[in-house]
Amino acid sequence: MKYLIIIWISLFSSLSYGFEFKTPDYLSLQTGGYTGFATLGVGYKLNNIWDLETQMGYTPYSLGGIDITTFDLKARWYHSKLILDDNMLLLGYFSSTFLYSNDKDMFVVLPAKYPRKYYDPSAIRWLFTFGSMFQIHDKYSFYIDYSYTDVELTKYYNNYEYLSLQNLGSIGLGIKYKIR
Amino acid sequence: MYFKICLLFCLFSCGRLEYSPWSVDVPDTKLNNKNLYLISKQRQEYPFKVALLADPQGHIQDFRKQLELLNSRDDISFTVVLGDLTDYGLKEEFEWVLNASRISNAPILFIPGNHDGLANGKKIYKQMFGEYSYTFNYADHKFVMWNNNKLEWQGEPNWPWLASQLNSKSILMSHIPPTDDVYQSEEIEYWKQLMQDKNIPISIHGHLHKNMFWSDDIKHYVAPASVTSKYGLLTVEKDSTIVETCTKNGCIKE
Repeated sequence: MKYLIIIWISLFSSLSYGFEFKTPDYLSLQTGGYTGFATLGVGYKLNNIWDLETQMGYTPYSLGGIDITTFDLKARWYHSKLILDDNMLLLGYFSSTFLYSNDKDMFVVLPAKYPRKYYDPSAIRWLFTFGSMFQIHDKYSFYIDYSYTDVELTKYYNNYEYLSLQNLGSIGLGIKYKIR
Repeated sequence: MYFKICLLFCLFSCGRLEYSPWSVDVPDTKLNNKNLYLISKQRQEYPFKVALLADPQGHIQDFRKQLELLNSRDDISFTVVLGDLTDYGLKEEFEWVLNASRISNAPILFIPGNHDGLANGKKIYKQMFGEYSYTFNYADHKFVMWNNNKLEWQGEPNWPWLASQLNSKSILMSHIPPTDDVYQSEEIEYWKQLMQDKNIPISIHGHLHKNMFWSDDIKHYVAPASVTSKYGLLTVEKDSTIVETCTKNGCIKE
């Protein structure tokens, strides 16, 4: 996990180089994909192939068994573009997300009661996502994607005879609204 | 083109919809209670054998193979998994273990490990498997299944509870053995003294991932982790206990 965090921070830093605070380029609303039942986000379009986004998600007791609030940072890379007609674009993307939960039972820094290096942070998970985005209007885009957690990917590697990728991961559905 | 887009949507729609990796919305199965009922209905005669598995901890494939191996025997009265069912205490990890355990021919019981107490693991464990600490009788012996994960569970270990449960016919099972550095030396001394005073036949654990056996005044056995493809086998006779470590090729007495 710590190597993933280092790689992700390096990626985030290099993409954000020379970045000045400005009004976000878009808003996003998502459901599923491990970020929450309802996830609201703001994002910046860095260039034609990279977006950076931060989101806050909420899952109610009735769906998660407990109330869960999450925050995440997402870097999205558009790897392909298909022009469907004059008003419609299909974009393929991968994204890398760090997901944080502020639940009191979880931690980022190992509490002092544990021996050194006893556990990885339990309040952070990494998501790998692939998906497609349909830009159907100048302002609106819809996306559908599929996310795997770091635990699912590493456990799949260890248990490929038993676990199936089809039974892991989660679908995510979202909408992006361009504000700038 | 539009056909391909529809196909893409259909492909995605075959997948699952999950809201959070930390959700705890699991069915209220209380598997231990169901299996304790099955055990209570057995004939319960000496000698009887108990299979000992420990620390599946994400190695579900190996855990399942261990259960398949145990299914090839017809002399196991019940199986105990000695904690660390998961690595991160996530719902999905618990579900993998629960689903794999369904193939077991013998009733299977679980106790929690330190990793199972991470994140929301405690809530999930309780719903899926039942109480953290519990006891049951088999023939004239009493099995004391003790949650001794002191760093992850507030208020544990419950020493007065343990003292009240042990007697000369008690077989103690807990995840952490009386050797680990999470316990202070005074606590380990108190624990050992308690077992000696009560003159228990044996204490059995997991956590260390390799099979170990030692005897001071009390016999101690640590069951191997699932990833080793080995399992422990406890044979209980009226006045003695024997422990073996087994592979698919046979068993070696400890």
